[in-house]
Amino acid sequence: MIVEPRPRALDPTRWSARHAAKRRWPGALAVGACAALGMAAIVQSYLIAQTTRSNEAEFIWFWAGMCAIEIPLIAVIARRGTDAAVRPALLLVIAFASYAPKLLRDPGAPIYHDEYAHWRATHDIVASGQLFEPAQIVPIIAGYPGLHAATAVIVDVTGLSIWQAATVLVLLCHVALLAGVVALARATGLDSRAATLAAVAYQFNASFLYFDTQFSYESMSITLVVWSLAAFTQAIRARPGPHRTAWRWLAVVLSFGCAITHHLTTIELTVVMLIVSVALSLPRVARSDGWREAAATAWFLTAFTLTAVVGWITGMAPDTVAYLSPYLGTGLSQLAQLVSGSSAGRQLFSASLSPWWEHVAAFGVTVVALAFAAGGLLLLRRWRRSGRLPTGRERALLLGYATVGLAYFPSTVFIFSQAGAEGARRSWAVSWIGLAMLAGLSAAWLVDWASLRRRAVARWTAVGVLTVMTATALVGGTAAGLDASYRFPGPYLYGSDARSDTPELNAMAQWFLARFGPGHRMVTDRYTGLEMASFGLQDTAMPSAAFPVWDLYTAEPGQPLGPPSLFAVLTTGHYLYLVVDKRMATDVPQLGIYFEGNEPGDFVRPGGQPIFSGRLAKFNGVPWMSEIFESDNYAVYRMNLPAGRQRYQVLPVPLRGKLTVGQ
Amino acid sequence: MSDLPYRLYQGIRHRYPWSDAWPWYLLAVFAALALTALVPGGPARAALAVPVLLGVPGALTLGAARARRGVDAVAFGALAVVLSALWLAFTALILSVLQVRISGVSVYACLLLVCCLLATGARRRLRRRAVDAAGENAIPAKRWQADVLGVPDEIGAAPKRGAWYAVGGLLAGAALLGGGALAYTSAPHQAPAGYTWLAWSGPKADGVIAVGAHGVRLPFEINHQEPGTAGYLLTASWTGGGQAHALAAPRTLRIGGGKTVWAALSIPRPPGACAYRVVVTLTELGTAHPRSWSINAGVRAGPGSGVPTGCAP
Repeated sequence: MIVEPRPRALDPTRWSARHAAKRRWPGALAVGACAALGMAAIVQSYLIAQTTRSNEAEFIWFWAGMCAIEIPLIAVIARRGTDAAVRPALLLVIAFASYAPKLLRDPGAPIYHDEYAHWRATHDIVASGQLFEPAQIVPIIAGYPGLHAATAVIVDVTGLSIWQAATVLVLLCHVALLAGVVALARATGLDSRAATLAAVAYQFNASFLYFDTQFSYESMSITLVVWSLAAFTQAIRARPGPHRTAWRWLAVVLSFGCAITHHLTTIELTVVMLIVSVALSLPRVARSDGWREAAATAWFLTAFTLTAVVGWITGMAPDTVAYLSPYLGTGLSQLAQLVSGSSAGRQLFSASLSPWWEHVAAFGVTVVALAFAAGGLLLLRRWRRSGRLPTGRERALLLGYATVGLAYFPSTVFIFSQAGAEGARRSWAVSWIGLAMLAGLSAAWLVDWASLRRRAVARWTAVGVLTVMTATALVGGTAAGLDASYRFPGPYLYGSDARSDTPELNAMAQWFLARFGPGHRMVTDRYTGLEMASFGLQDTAMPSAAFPVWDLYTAEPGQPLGPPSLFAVLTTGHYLYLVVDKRMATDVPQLGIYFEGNEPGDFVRPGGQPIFSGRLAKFNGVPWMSEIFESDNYAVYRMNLPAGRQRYQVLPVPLRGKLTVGQ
Repeated sequence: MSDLPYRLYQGIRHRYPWSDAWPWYLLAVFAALALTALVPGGPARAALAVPVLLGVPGALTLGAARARRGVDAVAFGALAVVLSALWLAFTALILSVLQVRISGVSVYACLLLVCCLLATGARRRLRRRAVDAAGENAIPAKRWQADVLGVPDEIGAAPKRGAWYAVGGLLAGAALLGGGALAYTSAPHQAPAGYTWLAWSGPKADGVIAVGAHGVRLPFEINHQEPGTAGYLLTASWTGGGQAHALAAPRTLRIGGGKTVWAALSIPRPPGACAYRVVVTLTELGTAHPRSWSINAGVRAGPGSGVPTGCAP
């Protein structure tokens, strides 16, 4: 185990127990008060955010709150004198508190894109009692039932609503994630302080605060990845016999659980295992007693995980390859175009609602991560030279995880590619596992170094710099992830996944469900479709080049609708309804797309006017369509396909009816 | 207080049945999960059931795998939760393979069976460990490090106290989170934007509605989800040849906030065999920029109504 030698000046045994106890309570109360005030500040930031599209005050309150909660707790964790048994408890407080931003963002219902999909998938399991039902919104999730199967079971047993059950499950996974990072770091050989600081550093990754707390399969699988690696590492470190067998079995169970829960993180898990296995197979690094058996264990578990992921994809989710490959392929080609100068690349924070200092922090987090990673590597080198770095498996494991961590830096260039940005961000949740270990080591060393400065000015300057670096990592990590429209509540924002849900849309979905029942196929835009396919329980079309439903919307008045092939698909697919959001004609979506990412790129004219302007009212004159619902912003049309030869009266003839109200 | 010397007292404590029988106790706790069915479904039942559902199967798995003693309190709790969550998913998979409907009863039965197997496995592990410890074949761990998570720490090597600290951290964290959520949900929130809608409410028509000799009644509803009462003008027309032809005498109505009004358009059998597009329009009254909503439907005389004349495709 790597334990940094204790400086004499910091030796806690020099303090009397009485003195320590006297000092403990005021400190604990101060930390508790900071946490309470910090939570109040977060609540205040969300209350401010409700009324404005984006306001700097909401960001200031939010980050002041987060810093007030986390920095005192991190300081106590980082103190050498803190009891090792206290650190995990403090980390638990951080884990719970770091779930607050997401919990407050949507306490009552899903609002993120994938959350709607998982809500519907869970609903279908609860309603039908069957797994592997075709999934709406994100079809690939049908093949990965881990999260929604577990949620459905909680719903069945407890009687909670789907959202309540999901919140409980994701919260527990979130807390277990940080505990897992500590377990993994300890298994790799870090002492309790460095391991807990590693977990603290891990929570600065871009996905931690919002993306991996949403009700989505990644939120569960990232926890499974971390615990799979902890069990994998324990199996390597344990002595042969029952203990190694125990951890080997646990690693098998956990990695299989990961394979049935999420595709990408399981592939990433396999890659990490592969890197560690290679490190364990390098005689120069890993040679020690029993290294061959340890390497064999590592290779066995890597092979099992690879078999599990390949087997699951082949047998249960064959669409996974087609789903994932465009991201990597397009990302690489866009990056190549960027390097060759044939493409301008992605403009970072171009449509962002967050303030400039968040953008600066988002760049700063990479610098901070680089500084801590370099520090960790330098420490390891120093310990190796002084002979204090254990040889054998422990060294190989550190080398393996450091390699995983360093992969973060080259992956950041993908952020400049439109297609690669999403994949790069998602890889950080895994690469930061390795990065966090290096950061944990260097953070522990830096805190000691700062505490040993004899001059108060130097000491407090060093502590101040460390605090600023921590705050930068905290702010920048999150700012590099999701946009403010996801993070903060606010008024309706057209074309934003997380701010498109309105009472009006909800009422339309419920009216439709009550009147026609579930399972009707319909054509609509992305943002209306989220609600209709989830709470509305309808089956919305998945637009693509082969099924260009946008042609219905873009057709000019008086022109025939859509190509015949589209009608053939609509007819054979039994699509009966078309829903129009009238704001398509006036507003440009915040995400830049109306339907899906594969739609043509010319839906917004150079002047900023949508192509749908003046083209949506035409549906009222289409002979095979009837408008059956209209609200302020939405219209629902019944499509009577195949379009018959119905002829309408055009001559003025006497026809008198009667309107009655209240009967 | 016992008069026994401390070490001897500890030794007796270690032989106390709890340490050997804990798998059976946990199994009994899981079996008692059935009693929660007496509690109404929702948060009250969840408060009782969730700790069992998301704790016991995982803890028994750790016991059956003989990894229980290799982890500290926080890691044990977290791993137990993760494994329990996985068991929920595995249970659903098992039921799916067996083509049994996933429901509260089937899940409970399947998980109980799983817990029985895990408890048996954990008990066997405990017995084997006792035999190993008593015999001479205990493996010395000289050259091998023990499981890292079980190694006492550099400062404060008190694993039992760690469990209490962990419980404290758990409660403090939950209180902080719960307090924040409570404060946010109980704070005054901005009222959501209101809306009004108009929709057909009768039997759904899969095309043009055939009108019999006695005519047809087309019911619809107006939902006014805005604060205060609003005035509206309700009109009906049929469209053809690019013009709107009045179909019924207009009606004015006032609708209170949050109210739904049911209305209907009655139409006699239309002349000829052409279809008619009838339109109901609701227009806001008393505002500078009145909003309007409309719905439409196709109607035509039923079979035997003659030859279509004056119709356009």
